[in-house]
Amino acid sequence: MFFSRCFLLLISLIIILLGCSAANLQGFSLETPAQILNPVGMPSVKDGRTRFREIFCKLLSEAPEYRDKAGRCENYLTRLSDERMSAEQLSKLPANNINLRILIIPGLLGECISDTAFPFETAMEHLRSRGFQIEPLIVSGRSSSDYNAKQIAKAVENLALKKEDSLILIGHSKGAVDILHFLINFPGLARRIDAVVSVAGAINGSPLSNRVADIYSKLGANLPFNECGPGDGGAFRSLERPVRLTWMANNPLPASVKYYSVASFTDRDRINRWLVSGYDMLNTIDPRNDGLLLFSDQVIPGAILLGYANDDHWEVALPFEDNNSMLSKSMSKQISYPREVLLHAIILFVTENLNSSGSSD
Amino acid sequence: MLKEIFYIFLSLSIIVNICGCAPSLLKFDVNTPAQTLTYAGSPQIDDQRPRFREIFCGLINESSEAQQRLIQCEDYLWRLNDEKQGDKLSQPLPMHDPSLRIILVTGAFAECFPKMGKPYADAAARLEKLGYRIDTIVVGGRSSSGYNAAMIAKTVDGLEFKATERLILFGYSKGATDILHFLVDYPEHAKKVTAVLSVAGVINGTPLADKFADTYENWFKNTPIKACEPGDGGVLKSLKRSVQFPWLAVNPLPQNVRYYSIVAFTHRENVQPGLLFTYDLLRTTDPRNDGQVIFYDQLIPGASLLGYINLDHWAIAVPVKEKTASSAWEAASTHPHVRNLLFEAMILFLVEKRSFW
Repeated sequence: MFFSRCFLLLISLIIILLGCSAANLQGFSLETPAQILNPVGMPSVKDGRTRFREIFCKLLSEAPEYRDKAGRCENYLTRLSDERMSAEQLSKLPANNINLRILIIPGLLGECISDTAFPFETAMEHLRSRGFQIEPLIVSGRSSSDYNAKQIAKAVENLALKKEDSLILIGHSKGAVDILHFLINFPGLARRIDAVVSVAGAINGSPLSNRVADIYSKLGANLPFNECGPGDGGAFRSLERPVRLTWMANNPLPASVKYYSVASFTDRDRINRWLVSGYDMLNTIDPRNDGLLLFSDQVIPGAILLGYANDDHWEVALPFEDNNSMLSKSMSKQISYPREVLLHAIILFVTENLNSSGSSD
Repeated sequence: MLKEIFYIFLSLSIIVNICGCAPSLLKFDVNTPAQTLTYAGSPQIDDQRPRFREIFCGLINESSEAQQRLIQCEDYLWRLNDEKQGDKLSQPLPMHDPSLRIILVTGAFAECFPKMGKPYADAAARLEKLGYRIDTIVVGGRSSSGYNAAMIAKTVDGLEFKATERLILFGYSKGATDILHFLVDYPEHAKKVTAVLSVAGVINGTPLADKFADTYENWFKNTPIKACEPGDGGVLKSLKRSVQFPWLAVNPLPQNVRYYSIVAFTHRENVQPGLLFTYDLLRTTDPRNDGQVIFYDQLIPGASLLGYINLDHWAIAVPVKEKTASSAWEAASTHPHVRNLLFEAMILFLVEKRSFW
């Protein structure tokens, strides 16, 4: 017994010495399967990463601006330990389907900076020139998801769809949350939707919002701001983790819609300087984050997981560098994330998946 | 430019206000739904909390000892915000059925502390008087789950059953992890198992082990200790989140077995001194932990969730507090009585499920 106690004492001392220097408990490891935090009882997430990687990498290899300087495709799509390898003989790229109607919904404060950068702005222009029907749907940048759900509903209601059109909503960050609220709050209009895609979606909210929401509602909610009105002031509150998880648990998503998620995270060196403090704070929970969201918080329950974009929360969608914005990570367009390829790959995957009546990978 | 200043203002407010340096970004908040950290393709969790609450609370209400000690069911069973109401008995308590053959599997280092390492020792003795056959496998306290899986297989292989008996494996803490490895590594033996119940199970591993496993392997793996052999020294490595979680993702559990999980987490003030340091380390990741494991890491994929117990990692199953108490008064705390009733509630819940197996 004496030896057991000495052993315990020694272990305890070592633990204390090690623990005192502990900033976080988990390292930045990619030797992990996809990790998804969901309320209990949610439908399982399906794995579409292998096929999505095939499509993404093929498109990247064909993009002239990335042919020589992009490096390996793996630089842009992180491979976790449970992702299956592609077959040696890659299957063909799906054909472009121009009967898709695609609406892209921006995230928190997106309205306020929409003339500086809109999610996939440049990518949309390129894809429109190839015949795709893609439009931005600007929602309130400072309002709650319920408020923005009404704006989405109005836009969907006013959309003139042809019989053969499929309607896809793509949401970046909080835009994805706004879409989910629209589906629940407007079930009649939700029937018009074929697919929802989240890109770095704040599906479970962010632990950062838990603190910011109070500060914002006291200091920032009523601040006048030319480009965007205060709305209902509930933007940050909508992103609190307990609010989001509780909402998810109580609102099963309509089964008539197919869901897809692209998550993002990267190492600290690749994080935009304006997001580094957020990254460091989230690092205490898990270093696999994108500066605003943890990687395990970005997947819609029951969705097909498409992949993990290896960049920060803004870079995967927002082309700040096109306007030389001081918010951009780099003034050099040459090293920006291949957003056009990402958006095109998403559209092709969804097209193929919708046509294949439910098989994922 | 104005909008960029707005963004910068927001960034600064985030830095200033969050870097107020509270220990965790997440609060101890029970106004939240049950959560599970899982992998792509993981089977769904089935929510059985309302019925388990009925049984546990029913036992407490019927126990004169619990009444004397003012044990209230709601004090020991968390109600998260997604649990459906149902705390009045919709059905009477099930009758005991000793045809369940129970095998308890001990946790990490339990072998090293024989007087306090066996889970539910007193509770099992009570139920044995009702006719249950209950045994405990003391697995290697310092060994890996793969090593201990072989010990469980050997025991299961040597068991003789009556025709009506059903084998139930109860895994406490790492004991649950060891059981899952046994089911995967010994599929033939696994066919004998009807159900597995994890109590504060280290199902996904724990980030604490990621922090300390290398230190243990380098410094303590071969340290001689009288009560427990070094085994293969893999105890902490097996518990690393970075080891156990990938293992789960590529090793689907056998479908012939039913899985049940009981989760533990509690407030810091209820945590025993011996677990406070590790509780605080885990608190940075999530304050809803039991001093060893975070609440969302304790669910077996595809399991039925029975409930969240408001006790720390030891108090839920082993008498560490009583055995290390400095006074008889402290030793006679409410924990032993709660443990007895909790164990009985788990058995009765399984008895009721037996008709569906």
